[in-house]
Amino acid sequence: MIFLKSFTLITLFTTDQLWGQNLTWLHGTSSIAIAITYYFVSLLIVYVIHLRKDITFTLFLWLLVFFLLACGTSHIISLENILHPNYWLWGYAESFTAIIALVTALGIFFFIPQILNFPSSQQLKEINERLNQEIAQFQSLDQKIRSLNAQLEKKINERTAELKQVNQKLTIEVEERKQIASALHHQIQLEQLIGYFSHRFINVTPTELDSTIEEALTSISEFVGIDRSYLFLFSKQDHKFQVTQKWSVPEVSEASDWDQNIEAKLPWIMSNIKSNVIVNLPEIDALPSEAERDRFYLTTHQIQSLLIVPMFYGTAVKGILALEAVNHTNYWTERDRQLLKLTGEIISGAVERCRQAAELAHRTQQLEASNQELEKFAYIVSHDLSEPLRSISGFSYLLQEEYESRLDQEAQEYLDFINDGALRMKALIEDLLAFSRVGSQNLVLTLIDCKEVITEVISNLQAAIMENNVQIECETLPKIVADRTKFAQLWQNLIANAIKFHNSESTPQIHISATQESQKLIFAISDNGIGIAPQYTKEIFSVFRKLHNPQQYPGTGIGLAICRRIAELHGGKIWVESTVGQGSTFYILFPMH
Amino acid sequence: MNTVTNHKPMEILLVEDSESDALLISKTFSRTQMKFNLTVIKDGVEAVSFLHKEGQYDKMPRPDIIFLDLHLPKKDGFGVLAEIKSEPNLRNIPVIILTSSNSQEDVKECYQNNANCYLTKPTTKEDFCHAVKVIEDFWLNIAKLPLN
Repeated sequence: MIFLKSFTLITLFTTDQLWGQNLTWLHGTSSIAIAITYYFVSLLIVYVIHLRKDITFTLFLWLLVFFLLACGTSHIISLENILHPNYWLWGYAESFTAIIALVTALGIFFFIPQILNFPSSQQLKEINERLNQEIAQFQSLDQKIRSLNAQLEKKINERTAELKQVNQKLTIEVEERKQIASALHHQIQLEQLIGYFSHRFINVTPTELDSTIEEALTSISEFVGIDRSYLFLFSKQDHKFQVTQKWSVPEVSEASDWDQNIEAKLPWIMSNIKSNVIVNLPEIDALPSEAERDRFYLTTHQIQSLLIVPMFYGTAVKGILALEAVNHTNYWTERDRQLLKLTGEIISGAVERCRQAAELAHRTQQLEASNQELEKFAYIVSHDLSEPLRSISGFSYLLQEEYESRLDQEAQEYLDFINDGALRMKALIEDLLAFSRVGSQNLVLTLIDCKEVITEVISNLQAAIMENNVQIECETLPKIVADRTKFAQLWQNLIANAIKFHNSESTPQIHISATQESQKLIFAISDNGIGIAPQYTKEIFSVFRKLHNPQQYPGTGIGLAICRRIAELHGGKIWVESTVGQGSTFYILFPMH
Repeated sequence: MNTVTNHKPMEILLVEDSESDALLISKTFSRTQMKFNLTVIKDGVEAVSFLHKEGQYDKMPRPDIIFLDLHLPKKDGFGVLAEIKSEPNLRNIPVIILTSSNSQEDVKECYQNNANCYLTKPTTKEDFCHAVKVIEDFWLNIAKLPLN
């Protein structure tokens, strides 16, 4: 409205001014058109700024808007100046516009790079196409990824399933291994238990046997977890198996009639046992049809599981080991069964060994008793023989003394024979007595100095030594525990023999020595005498055994028998090594205490 | 020299069941120089009766020395020895055990029961004569015996 008013005014005034009306109109219309255009363009730019927030050079556009507004306004002021000349105002407007134009021009200079960067529609189109291509590529890639992903997922699922399966298998395996380990542990414990009892049974004495069997039965029964167990031994007297040991858990009573004739009650089982077969019945129903009697007996006694192990010693069944379960079913592994069989054998071995030991002890006792009786008998005999001998000797003497004048030469000779016989008999009786005395008297063991005892013996025999010009050498000898009197008697006999049986062709030499070997002491007495033929080296140690007649070498032949007796009483022995004509060496072994 | 032998014969009691031994002993004694009266009794019960002067023995003298065998019928030598040594008026008579036994148990028991000497009968004539000679020398000549 202002604008129209102004234009009317321009029209009114121009008629009176220098300018003609047409010229005024030309200027006025043009200026207004220019100003309107400027303003319109400004508005369009503002609109663009408003719409395109992404434009980076907004400040430049705003400068342009101000510039266009200033240009438009400058045109209006120039028109005003035509209508109402005011050149100062016009000048100011012009200078203001000029400043804005300069600033805008400067802005254009600064913003050129940004303006140039602003893409063109062609560029945008290209970019767009590129983008579309990229998008298509991305989509194809995405599809590929999706397909790969699906494949991967499938594989993962498959693998998971596989792993699950493997895991299940492993779990089963672990479980199985655990079971195996537990079975192995059980077995090791059972083996240890049996090993322990095997050791006990090896060293068991007859008096400990029963208690050890009982202990073994209890331990093994408890370990294998059964309700009752029995040990039967075969009695030679009754020809029957008899229960010798039994065990049961407290809450289960014993089967009272097991003792009586088990063979009649369990014929099928017992026939297996006798063939050295383990009867393993985890369930009684498993019995074959021919074992009807066995089944009947076992079921009436509520036995659920039964294991009967034969106890063999050599080729004979010596007993049976029976394990029963009445409250549960019990399974025994093959290894368990074999171990229990082994236990049975260990027990029967120990039983047999103890039986043999007892038998041996009994026999030894009998032998000792008969030996003592024999010694007593020898003593009594020799004692009782001395009285008639005294009569013979005494009265033959009286005959000789009192009836000498009435007896002829022949009768005198007969009497001499009687006297000689009596003398020899006296020697025999005395030696027999001495021999029996050696065995009948208890050993008095003391620590003795062998060298000292032998030196004493040598000095006792000094007369014979001097007479035969004997050289005796005795090495250093150790001390031993022995009966001093008997030890001296032994050496007295040996040295006396060595002197007596000397070789007349050389100087008699006797050498005494001893060697120590671990737990024994071996004495040796060597001579250079007449020696002993090899066939007699054993029998010379028998009672009254002589190799020479009394005229050559007097004596009864008891000396070496006494020596042997003394050595044996000390737990030792005596033997000889000899060469006829060269000499003998007697060895005497004494155990060291 | 023992005074007893000088004045009157020595009273010897021999308790011995073996006739031959008794005869041998008496024969051997008789070969010595000493004077003696030897009485031989053949069993233990008789010997005790003799010592107690019972029955037929009431006139018999008290022995100066007793030779006692151990193996006797009815009552053995140990029993006789015990009786002698338990009687106050008999226990001072020397008792010489003369036996065939040389068992240590017998020796110990006899000395335990106050036997005065223990001798084993020798078997041969030489030993026998020697033993009798020693007995004579010691018990009848050297040893002083109590007088009745």
